[in-house]
Amino acid sequence: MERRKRESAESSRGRLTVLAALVVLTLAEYVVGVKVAPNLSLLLLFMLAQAALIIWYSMELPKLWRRDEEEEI
Amino acid sequence: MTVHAEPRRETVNRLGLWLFFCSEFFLFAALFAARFYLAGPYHAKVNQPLGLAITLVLLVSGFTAYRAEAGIRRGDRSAFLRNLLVTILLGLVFLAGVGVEWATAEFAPSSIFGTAFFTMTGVHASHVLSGVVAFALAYRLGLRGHFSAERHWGVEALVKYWYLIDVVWVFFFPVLYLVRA
Amino acid sequence: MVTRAVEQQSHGGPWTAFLPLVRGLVWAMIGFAVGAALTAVVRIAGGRSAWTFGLSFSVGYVFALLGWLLGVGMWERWGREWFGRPTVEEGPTDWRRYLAFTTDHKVIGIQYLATFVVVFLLAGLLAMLIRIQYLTPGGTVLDNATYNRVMSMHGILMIAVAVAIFVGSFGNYLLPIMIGARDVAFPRLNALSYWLVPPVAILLFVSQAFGGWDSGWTAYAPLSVRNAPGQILFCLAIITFGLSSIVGGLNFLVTIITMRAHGMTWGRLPIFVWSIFATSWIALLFTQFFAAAMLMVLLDRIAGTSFFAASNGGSAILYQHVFWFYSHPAVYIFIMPALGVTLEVLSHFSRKPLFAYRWAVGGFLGILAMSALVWVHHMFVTGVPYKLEAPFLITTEIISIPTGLIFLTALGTIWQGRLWLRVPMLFALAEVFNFLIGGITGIFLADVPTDAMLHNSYWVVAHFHYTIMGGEIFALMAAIYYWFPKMTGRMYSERVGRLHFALMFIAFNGTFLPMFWAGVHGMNRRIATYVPSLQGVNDLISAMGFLLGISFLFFVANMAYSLVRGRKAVANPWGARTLEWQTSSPPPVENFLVPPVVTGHPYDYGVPGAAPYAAFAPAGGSGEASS
Ligand SMILES: [Cu+2]
Repeated sequence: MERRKRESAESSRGRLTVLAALVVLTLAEYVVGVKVAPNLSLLLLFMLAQAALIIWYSMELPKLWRRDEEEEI
Repeated sequence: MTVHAEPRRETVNRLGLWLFFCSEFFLFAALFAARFYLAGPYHAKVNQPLGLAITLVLLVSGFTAYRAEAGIRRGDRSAFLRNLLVTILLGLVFLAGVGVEWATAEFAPSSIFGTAFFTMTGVHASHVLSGVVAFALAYRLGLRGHFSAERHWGVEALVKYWYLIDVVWVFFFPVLYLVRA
Repeated sequence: MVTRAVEQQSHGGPWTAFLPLVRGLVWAMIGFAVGAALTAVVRIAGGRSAWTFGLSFSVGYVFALLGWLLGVGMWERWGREWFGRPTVEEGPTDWRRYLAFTTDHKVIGIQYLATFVVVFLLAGLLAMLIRIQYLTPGGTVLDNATYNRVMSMHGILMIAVAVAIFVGSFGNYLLPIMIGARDVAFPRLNALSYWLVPPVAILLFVSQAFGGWDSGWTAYAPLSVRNAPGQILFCLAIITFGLSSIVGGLNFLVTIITMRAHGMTWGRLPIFVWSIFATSWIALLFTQFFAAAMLMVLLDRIAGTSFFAASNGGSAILYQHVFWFYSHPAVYIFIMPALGVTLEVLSHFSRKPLFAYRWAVGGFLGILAMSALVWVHHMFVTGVPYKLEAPFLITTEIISIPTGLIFLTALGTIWQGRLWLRVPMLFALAEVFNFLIGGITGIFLADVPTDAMLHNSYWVVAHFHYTIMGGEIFALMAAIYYWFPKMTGRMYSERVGRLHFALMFIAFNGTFLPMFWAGVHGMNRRIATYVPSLQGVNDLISAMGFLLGISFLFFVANMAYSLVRGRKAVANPWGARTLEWQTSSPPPVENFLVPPVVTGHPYDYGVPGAAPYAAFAPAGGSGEASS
């Protein structure tokens, strides 16, 4: 139980970092889109970066082929 | 000796869920492609700050959804329910934002940009709505003592689905609100 | 209360079999009323009329569909769980389970097979009607509008059969057995995928009361945006059917990837399983595009959007892009399982290893990989930019390479084999012959210059029927005869089977070969009449067409008689090595009394020193380990 709590706190911090990165990317994308150069290829870089972050970290794609130990207990 | 190769249920479920996401991706890709085929890389006058605001709301709701899942994973029911409730509310705020956008839009659905805009936001919002309804059912189950540190696949699946909705919006927001050439 | 209802089903009189269906229909009607009422409330609040056909019907249908599914049995098996109540697992165990929401993959396989054989025969009757129409150049029985509706209905029913009959019936019944599993990965999703089918049929037939639709199975815009309201029901039907195929594809993929028996490596999978694997990816992914196309038509009709309204900047060509992005890959949903069965039967009945197994697998995966890169070949004459034509001509030619690999595998397997000419083998050989003609005549449609001439002529009709009827339906017959003993525990009549084969093969070629000639000589497809100079060839086609229809009477009679009176089948009448033949006919619930361990290759016939395909541990559990 203790170990689970600790791990949970750690990954919570990790998730907060991901959220922060997403927010920063979105704001940067917005500034680029509204003020700088709203062309598709530039915006596409932002979209792909954000989607990659969400799919890899938030949706835990690697769990699909990695056995995570917590569930083995 | 187990002769049948019976895989762990989570592995099977997770693979099924991801395949479902792949399928959904094709639906949204069809709309994405149609949007450019029809209207090119341009957009009509839209409420950009409102678009930004609901995008941020959706991103934050992803985090609270994760907190809910993490809560039930360590057996903390109150954290699970609290965060789930916040997620539902944020989902409703997002839907309200889309509603305001629809009500105040300065273009008709019969214009080509309007066709793309209303269809894409509409199909996406219907996914958000289904997510909110499913979360509400999960909340009710949680209140009645269902789900636990050992058994919470339903929650995990819903949270992943919620993130799928995030990913789709990450693509839809810029091409509906920002792109010009 | 609910539990009591289920028990009544298992113990009451025969009429109780229809309880789930009746309840499904009642709940569907309630759902429809709820949906339509919700629409009315919203519309009245907005100051508009309470009822408008398109919107009210569509919203009503969404709720009706949910009501139907829950009513037919999803509520007990699944829905209760969403509200934290225990599900009810017991249901009827006798013949009544075929009319219930059941999770046993073998029952679902039979449900699919029975349903789609009926649909196939109905759509065949429509084809007979079309041939009657063509008895005179001016048409005999149908006016133009009715002809268009009949032709459209024939098309979509046959397409539905082509999509679902292999994957739904043989995929469901046999795939889990062939990989040594007890069931599919998601049995409830499997039941859902079947029970989504009846609403499709109901919608298509009910749509005739609302003017039907006259836009063919392809439902091209802008006609499909402007024709009778029956088209709306068509769109809803296709979206529902798409959902069914997506769910099915997903289920098969997860089953193949995660549920294989011990020792069932990818290199030991029966070739039919490989073909379903490749097919399932197409069903899972591309079907969304058909749904998207139908959604766009619906929105243009009921929400005032302009996807296909050229006057507002929309484009009817967009429809064709979205539609064919699914519908070309869809032909591989039709044909790949058919080719898989053909290879399966050719190997077992040539008593020889499948030639170049790995290349055949590569062929299936190659088709899968390329299937999304050829769709524009349907649009060469509809006004796509010229610069698209050459690339799609080339990709279309290239996709014949993986198809050719499979074809060469078939020929290599027969080569110097000791052919055992039983009915399944006859059909499999005929499939190879027909598909060759279908393939070669397709080249003229892939090449832009000839396609410009042949487009919309009977050449296309002939080519398509050679690939799908000559390819898929002949393979379907091979599959039905081949697995009939396994599924029913009885043998079919070999003599009547041969008669059916001879009639069907001659009549099929007699019907469709002259159509190439008619097409080149100016016979247009999808038209109620034709030029009088073509009456001779049309008379020949009609006569042969009726004979083709008659040949199915022998089939139906054979199946019906053998089902009741047929000789009892042994576990392995064909001496085949694959797993489905190593269990009783029909197989027990959960398929194997003792789980198999795979130790060899499925097609090592006559290979000296070959390991047996499967062992059943602990030893002695089954007396039927493979030869
Ligand atoms: Cu094609």
